[in-house]
Amino acid sequence: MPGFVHLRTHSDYSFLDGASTVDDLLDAAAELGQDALALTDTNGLYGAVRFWNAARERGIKPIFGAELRLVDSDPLTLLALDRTGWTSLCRIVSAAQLAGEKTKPRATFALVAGHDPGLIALSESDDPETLARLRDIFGDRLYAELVDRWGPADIDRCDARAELAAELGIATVVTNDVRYARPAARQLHDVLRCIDLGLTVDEAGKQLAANGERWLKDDAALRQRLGHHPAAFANARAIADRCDLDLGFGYQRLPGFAVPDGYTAFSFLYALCQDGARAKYGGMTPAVSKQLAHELDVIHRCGLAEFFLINWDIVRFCNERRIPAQGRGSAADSIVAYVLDITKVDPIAHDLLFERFLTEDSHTMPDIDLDIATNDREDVIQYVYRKYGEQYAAMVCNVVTYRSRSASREVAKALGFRPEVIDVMAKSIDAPRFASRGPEGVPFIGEADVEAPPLTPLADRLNELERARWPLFRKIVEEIADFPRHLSIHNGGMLITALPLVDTVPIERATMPDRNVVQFDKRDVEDLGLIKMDLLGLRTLSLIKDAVAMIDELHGVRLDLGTIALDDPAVYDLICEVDTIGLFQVESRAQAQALPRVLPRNFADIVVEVAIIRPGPLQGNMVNPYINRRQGREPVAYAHPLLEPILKETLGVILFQEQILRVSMAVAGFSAAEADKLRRAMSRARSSADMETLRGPFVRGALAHGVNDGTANLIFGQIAAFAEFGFCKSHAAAFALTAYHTAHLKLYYPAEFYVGLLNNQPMGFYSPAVIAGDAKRHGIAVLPVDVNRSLAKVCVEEAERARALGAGVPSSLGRSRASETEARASGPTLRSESTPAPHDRTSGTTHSSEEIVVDRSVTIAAHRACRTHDVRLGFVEVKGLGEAEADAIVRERERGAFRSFDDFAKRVGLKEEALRNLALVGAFDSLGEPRRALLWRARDAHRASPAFTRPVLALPTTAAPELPGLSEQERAALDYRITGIPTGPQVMRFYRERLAARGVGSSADVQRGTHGATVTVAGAMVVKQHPETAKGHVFLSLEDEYGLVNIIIRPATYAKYKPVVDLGGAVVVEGTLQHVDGVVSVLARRLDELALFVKLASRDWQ
Amino acid sequence: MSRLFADPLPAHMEWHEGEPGALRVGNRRLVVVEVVRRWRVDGEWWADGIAREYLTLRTADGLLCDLYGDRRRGEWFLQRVMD
Repeated sequence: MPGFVHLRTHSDYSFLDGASTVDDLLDAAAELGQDALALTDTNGLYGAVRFWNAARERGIKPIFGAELRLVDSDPLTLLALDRTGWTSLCRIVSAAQLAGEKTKPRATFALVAGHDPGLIALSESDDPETLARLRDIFGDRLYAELVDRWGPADIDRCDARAELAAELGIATVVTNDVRYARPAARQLHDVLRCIDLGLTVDEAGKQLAANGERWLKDDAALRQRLGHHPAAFANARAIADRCDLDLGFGYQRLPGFAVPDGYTAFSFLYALCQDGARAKYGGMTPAVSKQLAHELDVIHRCGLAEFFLINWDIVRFCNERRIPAQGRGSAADSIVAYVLDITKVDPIAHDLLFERFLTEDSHTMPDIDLDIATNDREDVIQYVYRKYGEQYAAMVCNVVTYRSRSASREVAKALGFRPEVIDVMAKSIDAPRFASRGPEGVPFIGEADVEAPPLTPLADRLNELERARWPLFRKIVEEIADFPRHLSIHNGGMLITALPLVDTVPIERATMPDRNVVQFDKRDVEDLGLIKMDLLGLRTLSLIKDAVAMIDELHGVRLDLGTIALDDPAVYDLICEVDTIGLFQVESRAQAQALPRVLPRNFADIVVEVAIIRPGPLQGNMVNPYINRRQGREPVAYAHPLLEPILKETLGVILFQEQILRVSMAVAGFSAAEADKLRRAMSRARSSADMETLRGPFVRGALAHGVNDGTANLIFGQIAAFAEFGFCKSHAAAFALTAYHTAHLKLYYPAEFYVGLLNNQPMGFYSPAVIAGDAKRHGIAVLPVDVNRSLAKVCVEEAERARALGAGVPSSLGRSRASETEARASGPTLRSESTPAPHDRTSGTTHSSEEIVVDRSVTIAAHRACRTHDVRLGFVEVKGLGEAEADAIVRERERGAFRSFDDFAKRVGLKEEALRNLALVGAFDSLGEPRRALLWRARDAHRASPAFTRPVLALPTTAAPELPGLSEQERAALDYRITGIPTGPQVMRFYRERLAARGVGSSADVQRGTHGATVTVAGAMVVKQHPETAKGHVFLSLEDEYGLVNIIIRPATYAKYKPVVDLGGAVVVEGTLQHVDGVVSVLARRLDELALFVKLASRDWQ
Repeated sequence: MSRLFADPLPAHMEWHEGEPGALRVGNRRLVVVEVVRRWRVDGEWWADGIAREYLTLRTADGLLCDLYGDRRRGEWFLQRVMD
């Protein structure tokens, strides 16, 4: 009989108990000619929205449900008949989740009983009492479920259940408790179960299904053994026909916003805008007035006044608390957002278009992302919760999926691979492509440096079992990619609704306390027509906040970054010089390669720079025409004069999404709404065929506008080529503003800048070690942890040399240029690169005032306001010391400086490891205590300290033997090991003589080289990049004591030297110097490992 | 009485319209009267793998036989006999 419907299925959203995606399930159903399908994941509705969209796309009717694993009864599958049923489902799932612990929901029979309206229940229970109770609750909405898992007793049990059901007056239905769409996915399901249980396949035994029959079978296959229950089959159809639920919520109203007496939401918004406009523009100009009127009109007609007020209020709260916050996204394209201080970029001055923000018949919700200083984001979230109430506000989730690295690890573990092999595999930087070839694809050719140990290729490391299972491993890693792993709310948005949340969406606990999270992600929530606030944490804003606070405290300067001019030539000098380590958005390796070609000289240029140097445009070949035109190699041309005003700012190349809107409006006569529709359709187009369907209307409109056919098609082609990669200009503008601010800080207050940067890790493109190197090259010493000088975190410290000069409290106020130059010229202080610098030499233990610190920078050296501060590492940087211990040290020190190691150990209760690490890293050097000797005493000292709780055994104290002091190299090794931040020379300095003797150069030599020359350079591999879009090319950043150098490795070369690149820490590169358009890099021909005495971590980027 | 064979005995199945009609073990032929139970085991796919179809059959002379068929090799084995 046609029309069978599967009513119990599990997708990958049953977290490790479902081996197919929602699309897989729907495709399988479609292939069988089934016109409806239910999705019933375990204890959750995570996949519901995706399922809803995907089902409609295929013309299949979606049925929504969940399988509840009850703690006090048999499992129950629930299906929603209608909207009421959906509400019941959400309430049940939410209550179960909230009653339990994270990942351990507590669903009880009573809970279900209390929320039955609108639900169908399916039960496999064989207990007459249970079935009777269920019948009393659900009436004719209860069905006894017959499932044949091809076990020995299955058919007998089904027959018995059917009989029991008949006795109790309950109908029956057939399901297959589907866990995967097709038989082949059974293997993946077993592996997922093993991962969930933490077992290998060999260990799992009976916990894995005995066979692979749980797939989406067709009617005939199911009837093979259950065909004698025809009513049960008919009921599957009947139930499907009964269910009718469309998830679209329509346009959800926002919660009311409390406005002052006498105002409505809109009139209050209006008043705020008037005040704001005066504050931002000094008065109402005609341009401002016109734009404002237009936008407010649209807002009013769309009923979105509350949306803006809610965001305004959040920013107001941030301003009150001096928390840096900035709005971006399509909403930044509005003057309303600007005058309300939600966004910080003037849309008039920077020519941002409102139509993209909000078009009247737009079906998409307005989008405002608020970037908030990470460290303060929690306070802001709490504020929103308190203001709107827990019932109405929850975080939107982010489903963390398996990436190749995590997938490789877990699948390999489940298949019984050994830990050491798993480690090697995981380290492979091209892991995504790793699984696609055999272990023989990891050859080792090339003679290593004599000192370096040989690296064995992976194939040689595998044992017999691993070899045999390698093909399985490959297959399953590919299948598991992008499967949900767990939920997180990191950087999720907040959902604020007018109706209680649990009536609309499923909720669960977040790992953070006092926090609820919706089981839907950003896109799901948008698709449902719900409005969310995006409160995102941006560490750069915390950096800025910290730096501004330090500058105020130490220099008495109150920086109001929001009001600084954006045309400081020194800032652009800094950026063009690529002195950009630490700068937001413009520090990456790719940026460093592009900046000398683009040479941004004003804010608009930075906006372009931020928008185009991203993987998309680089692949889409968009960047090259722009750069060529910028470099004057290509003429700036426009396909049609109508394009000139729109594309002038980007030299005739389409770079921004807003330009697509304008072009279609200007050339094809589209309205703002039509233009936005085109843009969205283009960005969603999956094939060139889809794209082609959009061509017709565009060309017709263009012809009507007097544009000839050929040109119209050409322009359409240009737009289409760009569609996938375009960046939103206002988004780029917001980022550009933050980039400018960080540049300003690094330029004038570098020490404070570096401190902020180090204290807000992990962030940015480079590791703390590289940041420290950059600091030193700017004449800022990175001082070691010192028990009497350090704070808990990294801090700024007046430089020895400044104190030696009697400079007193450093202040840039009242200091003229002349006096600064004087101070510079006199004595052994900050020197710039132009004066011959003697070899950097750090003294034995302390940094004494005769140390010469060289500022190798150009622009910063010329302009910096702060010249007298260094960076002092903090206690938390030491391995084994947490914030609590760090704070304890500082608190104790307030009672008096530490006089000796013993004094410290007695007064501060630290674990032995912490004491040792402090000693090893030089924290007691200033007390004149030799480090090695302290190791012996650390153990005894620990016993005498307050932290020691075991009874003292009165052991004699060991007398430390006479030990030689630590060499500079040993101290460097300790720095790398214990804090990860070298306070002495960068590691390559220790190899410089030997390398020079062999003709191997430094990064400085490379910078001075000529194009085409053969060069050899060595360095630590601090960045390894293997971008998806780079067609197999690998990029490295090598660091030495002079700076960084960029290495390009072609695919064939990478294949040859893979182990060296993947597993090594440092490398000697021989290749051809490329010096083009001011960009220097080395095209590698050969790479040899340089074995280091320290273990370095690289930052690996895809 | 139940006899479980440590080394299952090869059995030859005779099929009538897709259902077991009789089985021959050694030189005995048993007519099948009823298929009492049938189930599938499909596992250890990460190693050599086991793919078997199990049957419990009742014979004309009242014996219950447990058999399995190795689905890959197409061979059947008698595992246990009960009366």
